[in-house]
Amino acid sequence: MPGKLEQLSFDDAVKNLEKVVRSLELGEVPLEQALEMFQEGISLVKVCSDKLNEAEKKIQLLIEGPAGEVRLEPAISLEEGA
Amino acid sequence: MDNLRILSVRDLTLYIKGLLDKDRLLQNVWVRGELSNFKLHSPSGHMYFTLKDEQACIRGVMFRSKAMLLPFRPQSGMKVIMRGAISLYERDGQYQLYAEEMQPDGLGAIHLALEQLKEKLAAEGLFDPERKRPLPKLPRVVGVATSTTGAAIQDILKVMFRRFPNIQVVIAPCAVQGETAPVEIAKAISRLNSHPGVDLIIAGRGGGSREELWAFNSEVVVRAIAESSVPVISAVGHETDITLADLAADLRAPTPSAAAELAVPAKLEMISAIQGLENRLNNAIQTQIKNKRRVCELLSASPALTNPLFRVNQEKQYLDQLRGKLLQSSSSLIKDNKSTLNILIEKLDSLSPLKVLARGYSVCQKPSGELLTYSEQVKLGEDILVTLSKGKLQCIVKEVTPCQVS
Repeated sequence: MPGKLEQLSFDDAVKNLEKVVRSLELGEVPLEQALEMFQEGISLVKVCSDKLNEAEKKIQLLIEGPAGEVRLEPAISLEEGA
Repeated sequence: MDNLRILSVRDLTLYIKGLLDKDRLLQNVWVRGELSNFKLHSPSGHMYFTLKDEQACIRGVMFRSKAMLLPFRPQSGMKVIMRGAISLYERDGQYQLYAEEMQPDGLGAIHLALEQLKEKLAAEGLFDPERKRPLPKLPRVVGVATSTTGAAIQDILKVMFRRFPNIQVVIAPCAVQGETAPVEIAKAISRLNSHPGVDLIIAGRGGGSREELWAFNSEVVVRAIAESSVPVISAVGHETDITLADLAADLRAPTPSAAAELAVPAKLEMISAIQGLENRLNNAIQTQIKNKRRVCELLSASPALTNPLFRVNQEKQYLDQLRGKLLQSSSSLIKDNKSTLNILIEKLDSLSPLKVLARGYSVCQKPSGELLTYSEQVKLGEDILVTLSKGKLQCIVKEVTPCQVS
């Protein structure tokens, strides 16, 4: 299950987290299930925070060469301005 | 003469009208000319006019429903382009142009081409609202199709990194004005589509003249946007004109800065939103546990658990009550039975034959033991046995008095 959670997109992770929180807030859930949901919620919080922080600031240029080949270049000049 | 088919004027006119109405070109035709004899009929609101050039003229009408939507006031002498259908007005025997759209000709052929392209692409459904896709809340990689030299890219990067300092951006550089711009923009969009991770594209440029923005009205750019497998935000110029790219995009931003704002979430807001959810999660589980604990406390406070002998004692008490009742009822039963017995004994005693004999009665029997209850049971001289209260007599019958049979 945790392996699966990490593969969620940020949007889906937030959506699932909202769902877990809402059903935990709403209903009487058997304790075992409540704890399971809580566990899932905590994992989702972690997935969301990780996703917010995992990317590193990066600007790259996607350039098509004269022969149609596509290459990626760092955009140093633009990075300074940003 | 008789064999010829003779039509009425009306039939002939309707036949001609049918020919015109069946012609596809005539049903949706663009025509350029100069207005003359222009009349806005009151109160109907219909416009009547003649459209002419040096060599020819055609009468025309634009009905109120369309005429009232015109953004300008037509007048005689004005050069216009109009779109409409050719049909025949039977009463006057006149074919005329039933105009649907009209625009001043000053903008020239380019404008007409734009209108026609817009119509064609709209007919293909490329601008349909159902095609619009939601943007990801947090794009993994934002693709930007624009020029690397303009102010637009600087604005986009500045806003994006301000909102989300660790966002990843891939820029596909392309000319945004000039002859090659349309194809370059379209290629940039498709290049970004095939770059792994890109899940949102901004395509645009800073403000400029209508001519400078023209690439974003080109068919290739519109098609590239429509075919993009990830959502596209258009960001062309400064609000005034809406380009065809804007119509095809999943979301239209009025400026490049606005596009960046729409593309990337404010990281701090996101963090506090996640924290808010985490707090709610913690509260929710604590409430759940608190509720369960309260149930446990209520249960453990019940007499069954605090005083396990309570039930046993209760049952014992009940048992004692039952025992008491049993003793009580059995002794009274015995008493009742005893008195009944005495009565029966007395009754039995009073009925005893010995008692009867004691009162002077006797019992007569034949020697065989048969009891005598009437006289004819015996014959004269027969022996009978008489039992007295005390002792017995052996007697001989001396006389038999017949009993009076009743």
